[in-house]
Amino acid sequence: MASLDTGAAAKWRWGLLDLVVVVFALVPVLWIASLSFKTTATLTDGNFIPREWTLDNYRTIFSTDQFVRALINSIGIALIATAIAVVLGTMAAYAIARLDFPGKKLLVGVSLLIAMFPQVSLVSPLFEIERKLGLFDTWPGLILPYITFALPLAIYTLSAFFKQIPWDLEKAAKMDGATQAEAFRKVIAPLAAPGVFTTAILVFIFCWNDFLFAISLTSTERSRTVPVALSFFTGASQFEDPTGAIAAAAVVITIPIILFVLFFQRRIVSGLTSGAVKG
Amino acid sequence: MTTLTRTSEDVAAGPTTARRRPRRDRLPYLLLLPALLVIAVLLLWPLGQVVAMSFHELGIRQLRGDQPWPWVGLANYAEILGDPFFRTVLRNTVLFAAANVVLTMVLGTLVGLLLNRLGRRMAAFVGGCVMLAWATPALTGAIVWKWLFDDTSGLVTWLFNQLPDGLSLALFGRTDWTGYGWFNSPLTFFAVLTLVVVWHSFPFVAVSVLAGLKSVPAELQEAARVDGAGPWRVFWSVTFPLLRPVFGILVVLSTIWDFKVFTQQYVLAGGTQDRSTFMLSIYSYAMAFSPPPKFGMGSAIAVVLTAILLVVTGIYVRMVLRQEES
Repeated sequence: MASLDTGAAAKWRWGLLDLVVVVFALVPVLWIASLSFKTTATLTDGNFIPREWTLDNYRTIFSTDQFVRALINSIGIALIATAIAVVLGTMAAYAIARLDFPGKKLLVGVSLLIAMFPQVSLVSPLFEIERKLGLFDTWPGLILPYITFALPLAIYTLSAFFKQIPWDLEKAAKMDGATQAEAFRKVIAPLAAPGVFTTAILVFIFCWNDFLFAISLTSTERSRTVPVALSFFTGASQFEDPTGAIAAAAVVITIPIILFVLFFQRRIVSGLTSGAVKG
Repeated sequence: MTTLTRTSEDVAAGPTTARRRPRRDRLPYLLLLPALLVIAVLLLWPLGQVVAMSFHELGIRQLRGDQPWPWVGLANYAEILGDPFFRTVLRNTVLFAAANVVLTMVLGTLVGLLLNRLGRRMAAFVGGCVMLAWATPALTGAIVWKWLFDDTSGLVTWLFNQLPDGLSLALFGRTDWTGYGWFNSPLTFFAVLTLVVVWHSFPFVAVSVLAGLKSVPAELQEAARVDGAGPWRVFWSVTFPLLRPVFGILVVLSTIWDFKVFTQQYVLAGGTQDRSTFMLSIYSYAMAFSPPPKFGMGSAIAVVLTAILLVVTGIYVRMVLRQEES
C-alpha cells in the first residue's frame, strides 16, 4: 500500500478528497455570504458569485431598530452570562483541579450530566416561573438559563485545563524569592489564562448560538436576540423579499464565531475534545 | 515551553507535593459553594416545576390567571404513552438519531483520518474550513440549507437539474427538479434534516478523532502497513482498538445531541405545523407552545425525553470518568 503515498496520481486523488471536504464544509457558509451581497433583482439568479455587488442588505438591517436592538441584546446577554459562568466556573474548577476533597468525582460527573441536559425540557417550566417572577422577556430571563448550562460546561472544561497546569512552579517561584502574589501573577495567571480564555469562547458561542430559549422566553425587541429576530425578519416593507436582509443578518451573527475559530482554532479544539479525548 | 514543563515535572517528583495543611480543608467548599448554589437554584427549580407540571392539567387559563391547577396524577403520562402518535414520534426520534449518529461517525472518522495524513499547513487549512461548519450557528446553518434546497433558486435543485435526463429518470423517476418540494414528504424532509445535522456535527467528531490519533503512537499503524495490511485492515485491527474509548464517547455524545435536535428541525419545517415529521423535542415544545397550549402534556413529554437522555448521559459520564482514571 506504499504506492498510495507516492506518485502524481495518488497526490491528485488526495487533493481531490481535500477539496470535496472543504467544499462540503464551506459551500453553505459561502452561499449565505454571497446572497448577502446580491441585489434584490439578482437574489434568485443562482449565481455563486454575485453579478452585481451591493451593501444594501447590510445598510437595511443596520438601519432597522429590530436588528440593532437584537444585536445589542445578543452581545450584552452573551457577555454577561459568559462572565458570570467563567468566574464561578474558575473558582470551582480550581478547587477540583488543585484540592483534595470527598465527592470530587461526583461533582465532575454531575457537571457533565447537566451540560448534556435537554434544554427543551426546561423551556415550559422556565416560561411559567419567569412569568410569575416578572423575568419573562428581560435580559436576566435569558442570562439565568444560559448560566445553568454554561456553568457546568465551564467547570468541566476549566478543570480539564487546570489539571495540566504545572502548579508546583508557584512553589518554585516562591523559593526563588517571589511573594505569593507575585508567584500567582507572574507564574500561575499566565499559565491559566489560555484555558480561561478558551472556556470563555466556548461558553460565549453556546450563549450566542442559542435559539430555543431565546424564542420561548422573549416576546418583544426588549430582549430578543439576533437568532430570534432573524426568524421574524420580514424585510423593510412587507412587499420586499427579506432573503437578502436575512442573509446579511446571518452573516453578521456568524462573523464573530468564525473569527474565534480562525484565530483560536487549536485552543478551541483542545477545549472541545477534552470531553472526548484525554488531553 | 518545553523547559518549563520539564522543570515542573522535576519539582512534582520532589517530596513537597502531597502535604496539605488542615486549615485548607474548608477552602474547596468555599470555592465550590457559589457555583453549586447557582446551579442548584437555576436547575433544580425548573426541574421540579416540570415534574410538577406534568401531573397537572395546564391550559391557557391556568397560566394566565390565578385559576388553580387541576391535579390529574399520571393521566398525562397515560394519555401520551397510550397515544399511537407518541409511538410514531418516538420511532422517528430513535431512527433519526441512529441514522445521524452512524453517518456523523463515519464521515467524521474519515475526515479525521484524512486530516491526520495531511501536512501541517494543509491540515490546519482543511481543519479550519471544517471547523467553520461546526461554528456556524444552528439557526444560520438551517436557514442556508433550506435555501440551498429551495425549489426554484436553490443550488441543490440546480445540481439535480444538471443530471443527465436518463440518469435522473432512472434513479429518481423525474427529470425536472424545479418545483420539487423537498420538505413536503417526511422521507425527503428527514434526508435534508440529516444532511444539515451531519454537516453541523461531523467536524467535532473529525477533530476529536484527529486528537485521538495524535495521542497514539503512529509506529503501530506503520508496522501493520509494512506487514502488508490494507487501509481497511489497519483501521480495524490497529487504529480502532487503540481509539475505542474515544469512539465510545463520541458515539454516546452524538446520540445525546441528535436526540435533542430542535433548531434545525424548527427552521426546516417552518415552525411546528408539520406533525408528520415530529420528534420528541419539537413535539414537547409544540404541545406546550402551539395553540391551544397544553403545558401539562408538554411537560410530561419533556420528562420522558429527559428520562431517556439521562440514561444515555449516565453512560457517557461513566465513560469519561473511567477514562480520566486510567
